[in-house]
Amino acid sequence: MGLCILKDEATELKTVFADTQLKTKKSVPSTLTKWAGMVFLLALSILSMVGAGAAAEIKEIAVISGKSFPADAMTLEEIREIYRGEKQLIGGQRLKPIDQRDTQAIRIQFLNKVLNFSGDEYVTYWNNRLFREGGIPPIPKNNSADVISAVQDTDGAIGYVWLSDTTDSKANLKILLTIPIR
Amino acid sequence: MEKEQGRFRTIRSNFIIVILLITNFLVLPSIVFGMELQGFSDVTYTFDWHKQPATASDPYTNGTVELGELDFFARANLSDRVDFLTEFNFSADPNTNEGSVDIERLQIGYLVNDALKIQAGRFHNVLSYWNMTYHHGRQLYTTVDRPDFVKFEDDGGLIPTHTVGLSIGGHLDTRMGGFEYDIMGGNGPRVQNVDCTTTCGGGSLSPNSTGDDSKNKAGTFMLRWMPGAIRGLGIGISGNIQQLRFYGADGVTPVTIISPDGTLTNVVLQQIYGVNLVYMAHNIEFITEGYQFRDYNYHGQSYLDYTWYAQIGLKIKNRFIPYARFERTTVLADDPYFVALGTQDISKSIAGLRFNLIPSSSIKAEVQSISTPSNKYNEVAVQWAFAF
Repeated sequence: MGLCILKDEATELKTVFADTQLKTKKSVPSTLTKWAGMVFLLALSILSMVGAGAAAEIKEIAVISGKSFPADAMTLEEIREIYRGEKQLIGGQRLKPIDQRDTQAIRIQFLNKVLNFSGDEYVTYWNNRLFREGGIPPIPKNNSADVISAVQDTDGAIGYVWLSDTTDSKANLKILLTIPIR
Repeated sequence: MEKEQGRFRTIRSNFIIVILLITNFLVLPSIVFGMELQGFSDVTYTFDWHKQPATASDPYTNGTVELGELDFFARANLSDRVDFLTEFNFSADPNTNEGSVDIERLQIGYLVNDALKIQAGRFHNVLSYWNMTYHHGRQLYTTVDRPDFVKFEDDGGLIPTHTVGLSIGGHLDTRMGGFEYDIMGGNGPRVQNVDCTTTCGGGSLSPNSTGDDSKNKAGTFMLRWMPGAIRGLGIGISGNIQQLRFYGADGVTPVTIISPDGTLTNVVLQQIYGVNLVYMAHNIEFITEGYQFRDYNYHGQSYLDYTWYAQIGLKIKNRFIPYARFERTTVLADDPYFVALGTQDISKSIAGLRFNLIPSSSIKAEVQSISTPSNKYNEVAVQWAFAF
């Protein structure tokens, strides 16, 4: 019986194998499909990698202040008004915007993408504004480390740095707004 | 000889004042108060031809290199809410070669909030966009000179360019865009140096900086809208009301103005209303302003006069700005205000090129065609302007 069973099983297996072969034979045209699928998956992977690379190029500007700053968050429009000198007070405290030197790549991005100014236009804008109304323009600092230090030490100061530059100092900073920059 | 010595003493005392002022502003406050000092100046060559009558001593007909005004302004935040601004100006008259020092602005302000700032002192009058925005800063404006009607009070200007008194202004951001407003009240100006020996004329406005000659005060308002949807666009309206009396060369002897139609006038109630439109974006600079004067002589007669200009420039690579401006002033011959000033109808067409050497210095060259009822002539001017 056991043999019988074995025989039966062997027959069944043979049958299954034959079916498989039959199926294999039937699926010869689907080899192309399989390869096409692989190529598709490969292309998808390459595209994903490219996409991931592009995503990596999106950097974020963080608008920062010290812990004693009267607000915890600000809108993009408020940031624009502060750097144009139109918004001067917050919670009864004088705002002191901190700028970066024009040698810093982040400044070009901040002026172009956030304030919609070129470097020369921003200088002209402030020359006009100072002559007309007085006030104090954004104070330039050499680099992001100096900006972080200035906002930590000065009441009412607000600055901008790359978000990645804030990781070491986050404990003493408020991030008021992050702005993705492509 | 005594006159020469007197002039020398005046020059010497002016020189000492200048040195003291500069020392004060440059050294002491910068150490003690952290005051910022900036300024403007320029050197301009002007030559005109076909002017009638041609006079041998006319500096522009002879071709003149002119030192522009040396303008300093200083500003300081005395606290989070209190700030201070002053501007003083050294200038020379090319006709007399005499120099003078003026305190152009002196204003102390209190910032209540972003929408309300209260100031007292001497201000640039906000009636005209050009006057309010550029004033002495020739480096700030594209052309060599201001439109004629916005010239300063003592230089043949037709509108008040300074006010001594109080100012309330601010900035408001709304969903419709930004709004700026300013309301000023202060001493009403007078017209002085009027000469009625033959026909009246030669007068000039004085803002009465040190004392008002009447109880009637002047008031000015300005409202500007910058729609958020169109970056660089600004639309403004403004107005001014004042009462004017006329005085002779000594500044104290009242003069009665005799208009060509025989009307005698001692006092004029003047209302000026204006609109302006400015577009500064996408490398285009466009400014236009228009004003209506309504002069009432208290004898039942009122006169309407107009002045306007339009200026356009195109920035090329942020370095070159070819530009053009047309300006026109039309006045009634019997309007006692313009009779006192000796103002005639005038049209000016200007074409020029500005080259930005660096953001704070520029070289400009332009040609003007000037037309009045009695004269039609041309002028060429080259200017090197700078800010520091």
